[in-house]
Amino acid sequence: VRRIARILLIEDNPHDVELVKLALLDQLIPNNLRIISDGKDALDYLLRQDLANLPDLVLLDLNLPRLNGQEILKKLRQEEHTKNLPVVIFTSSQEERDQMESYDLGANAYIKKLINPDEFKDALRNLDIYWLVKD
Amino acid sequence: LACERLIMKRPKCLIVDDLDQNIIVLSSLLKELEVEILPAHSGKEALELLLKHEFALSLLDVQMPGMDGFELAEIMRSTEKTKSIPIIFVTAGDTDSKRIFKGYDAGAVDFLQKPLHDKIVLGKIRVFIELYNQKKLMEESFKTANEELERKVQERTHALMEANKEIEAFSYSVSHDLRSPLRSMDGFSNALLKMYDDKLDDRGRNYLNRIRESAQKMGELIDGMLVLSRLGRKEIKRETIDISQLSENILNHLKEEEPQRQLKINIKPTLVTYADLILTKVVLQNLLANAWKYTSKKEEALIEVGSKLENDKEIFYICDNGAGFDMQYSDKLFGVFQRLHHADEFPGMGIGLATVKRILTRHGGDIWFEGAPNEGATFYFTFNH
Repeated sequence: VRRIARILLIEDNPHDVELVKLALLDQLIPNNLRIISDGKDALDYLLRQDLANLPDLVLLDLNLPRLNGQEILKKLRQEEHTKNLPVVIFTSSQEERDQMESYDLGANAYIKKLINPDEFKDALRNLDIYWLVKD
Repeated sequence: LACERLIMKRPKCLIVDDLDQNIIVLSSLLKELEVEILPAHSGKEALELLLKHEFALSLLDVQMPGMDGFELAEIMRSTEKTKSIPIIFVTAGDTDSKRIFKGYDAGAVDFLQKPLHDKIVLGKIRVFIELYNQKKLMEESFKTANEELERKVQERTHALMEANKEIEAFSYSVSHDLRSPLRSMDGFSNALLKMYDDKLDDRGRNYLNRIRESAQKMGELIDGMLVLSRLGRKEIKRETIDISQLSENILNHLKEEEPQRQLKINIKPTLVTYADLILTKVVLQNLLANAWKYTSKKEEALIEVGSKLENDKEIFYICDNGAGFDMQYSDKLFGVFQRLHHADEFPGMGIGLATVKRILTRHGGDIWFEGAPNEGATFYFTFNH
């Protein structure tokens, strides 16, 4: 029995939240999903957690209220206890510069929100293999 | 405003005479004119003043010890800074001496004869001062007009850059915001199909699939529009490009996607151009994909890539024997979202040729075509520079 993945989804679009839930279900990834829809709230939450309580994976949208994804990522990489936290950018931006910038800031992976949900499911399967199944 | 500036700064008048007494007489005469008088007692002194000041007029005594008035005038005429200062020679009445001065035809030279008559002196000097003031006024307004022009150019450039930035922001938001609802449409339709399969009949599944297809199609349209709008702004970097090799690669790729298709491909070797590589790929990709698509219903399909010389200029062409088109509707061919065939007959967004045309135009080149229904199409194109 694999352990339950603790995933923090930082996303302000309720439809996308629902689609992520569906994709996790579809890929049979046992999960404990926490959703925070505001950039500032999300950063505060992560900085408050001690190492043991940090999620296994953060799925981070770029376009968020108050603090955007890049700002959050930058702050996380500056803090000792969050600097190795796996962060996957999850965005509808198709701009190459957003991708470059995200990797420069220390993103672990970058997933474009595409219209076809199957592609997100594929990406999620890869994430599962790389970041969640550790044992 | 220009006038005010001129009045505040009175034009300067140089008086050169070895005798103080003569300077005093002339100075008092000129009191009623709005001029500032700078006296010099020798040619040498005068030259020093000429270097330092801008003069509207100079009054030179002809007979002076050392450098005389004519010698001074020669020097003034041969120096850039002073050569257009009007000169009035003050002579002792010897009319022959006028001819000695060689710089006469450099213009603005006059003579006053001693004994001086107040009215004549004032009249002559006034003419020169007025001329000077007019010249200054014109220079001033010319300068203002120039500055105005410069300011306008900067304003426009700035507005253009702003507009470009706006378009960029707009495309960004289009790509982001328009995709979002499509993702929901496709995603939730997909979820319905998977999770509620047992509750749906074939018609229901069919409708949901149509929603999915439409959402994905619209996504492609948005992408196409974005590509087109970006092309308008992308910087063109020219390099030598092997058109033959590129065409072959693209066609090989198309073959891989549909290996069952039988067709003859004819590429003229060593077709070379000097253009932007990325954009040239887009051009060839679009034209070859079109040729590929429109020959799909031919039994003996043929695609040809070649070139011909016209007025010493190489014109490339891509030719096929496919569905062709009626030249009557040809003006619609390069329009955005225009198509000449039904979507179910030949799928496409109607954006490819608009993109191609935009790219070639940006290179300074052009594209045109020949075609007839069921007799194929030939697209001619150039990349000028």
